[in-house]
Amino acid sequence: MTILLDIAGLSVCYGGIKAVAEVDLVVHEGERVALIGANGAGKSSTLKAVAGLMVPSSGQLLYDGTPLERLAVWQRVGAGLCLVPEGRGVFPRLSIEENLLMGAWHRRRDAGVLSDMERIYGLFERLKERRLQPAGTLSGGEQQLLALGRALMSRPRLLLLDEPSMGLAPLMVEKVFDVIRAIAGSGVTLLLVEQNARLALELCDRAYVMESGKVVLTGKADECLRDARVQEAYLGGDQS
Amino acid sequence: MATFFQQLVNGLTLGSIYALVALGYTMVYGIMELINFAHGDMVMVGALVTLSLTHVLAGLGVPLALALPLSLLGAMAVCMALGWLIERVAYRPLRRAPRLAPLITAIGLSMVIEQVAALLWGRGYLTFSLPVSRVWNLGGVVVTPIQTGVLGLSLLLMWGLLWLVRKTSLGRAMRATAQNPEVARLMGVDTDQVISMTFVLGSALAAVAGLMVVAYYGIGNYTMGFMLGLKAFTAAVLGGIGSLAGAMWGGLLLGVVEALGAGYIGDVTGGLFGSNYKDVFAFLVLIGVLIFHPQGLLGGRAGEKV
Repeated sequence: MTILLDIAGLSVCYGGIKAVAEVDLVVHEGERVALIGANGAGKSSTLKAVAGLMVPSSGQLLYDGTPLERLAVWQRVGAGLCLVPEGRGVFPRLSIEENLLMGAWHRRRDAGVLSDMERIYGLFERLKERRLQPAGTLSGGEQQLLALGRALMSRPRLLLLDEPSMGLAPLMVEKVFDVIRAIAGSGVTLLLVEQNARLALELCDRAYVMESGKVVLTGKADECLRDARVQEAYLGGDQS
Repeated sequence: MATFFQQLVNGLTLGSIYALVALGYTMVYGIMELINFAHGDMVMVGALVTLSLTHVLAGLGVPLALALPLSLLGAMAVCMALGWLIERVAYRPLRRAPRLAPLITAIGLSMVIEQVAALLWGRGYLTFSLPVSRVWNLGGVVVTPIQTGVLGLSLLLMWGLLWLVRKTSLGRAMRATAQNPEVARLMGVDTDQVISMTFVLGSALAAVAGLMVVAYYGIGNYTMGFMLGLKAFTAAVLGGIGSLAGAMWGGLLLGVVEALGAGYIGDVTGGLFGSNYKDVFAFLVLIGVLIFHPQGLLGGRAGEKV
């Protein structure tokens, strides 16, 4: 399989503190990779470095063979790399439809945009009903769905998801993960940062476990699920 | 009653000019939370360039009906270039600086622009008289063609700007950048370019306002942007800074308040104060708004930020 994202020796400093220390991580084309760990382990910082929101203090980021440092944040989505940020980041005073259109900004003159939007409305009935309302009026879960739909509008090759379940009611988490599963099923490569380790491991092919800025474990997701240390630390002990 | 309607007409004319300038303040504030105090001087640059170009073209025998729009286009081009340059050179390097730094820069820029203008145009008053002597008398209320022109063009431009911000993809990117610049970048928006375009748009409106001021008052001077800028800023705050509709309503309201105040202050104070105190009203309004309703008329949640 071809390597789509190749992170080598990545370190990210945050106000003098090393949030990410010497992380190596690889995502192959078509793969679903989970990045799990406790709060503050450096998962989000890793993802932000890939998206360009944080500048690495050292290390090499290769996307599809190209060093990412050559691309400004806003150029990365055009290359197929799209981050759904933590806290969803919908534009609250833009309508739902305008939010979706923002996802397709880099291909705004493309005739396929409108048909893509119809396709996304097909996935999310609620969004279609309320397409002219400000996105800020949606519930948290609906906003997460909108953020996913908006990301799809960019026709991503590699989708970076930062804590998609955060702050959502259990029923909504299920719905959001159904959508993520469907997206992955359509061939989009996934790098998923998630505190809910069980959900992430069940959805993904491979996983990396981070602790205080370092990768402490990596392997197939189902092996991680059975790993005693992972069970102890992230899956609530003696479940099997 | 004739005084009232006369001052209402005068106030709406003046207010529509304030509104055009206030839009420039509010757009820049909405998108990057910066008060660009050099914006008033952009009006002055627009005014003096229009004035000079009209004189040059008239000297070449170009009829006024053609010379005036050509001069305006020239002034708009100059102001747009200057606005772009100012953002690029003075504000962009300060994007991550504490908020006081760009504010002080803005005040410094304002001085630089005024002094350069003084070198180019001198420190005296330049006259600009349009050969329009006809007036309409509507039951004691005098309306001039210049007033109707100012009002009509302002309303057209405001409508155009609202359309641009609400309906075009550039406008959508401007609103997205104002609401969350980081996510806008994640979505592929070159936010630096959007900010540049915001300055360019505001500067174009300022150039038109400059023409209106010299046409209305008949004179121009290198300091004319200062007071006008402060009043337009007041109008933007009155309407709720960051809100487009607020800047428009704030401008019109401020113009009317000022005109009515100037019209009646003599009668009310028994002649103690005359209409030369008219500038006081704008600042009384500013102080009042800041004390009692700091978010402005349409500020906060209701306003549409850019």
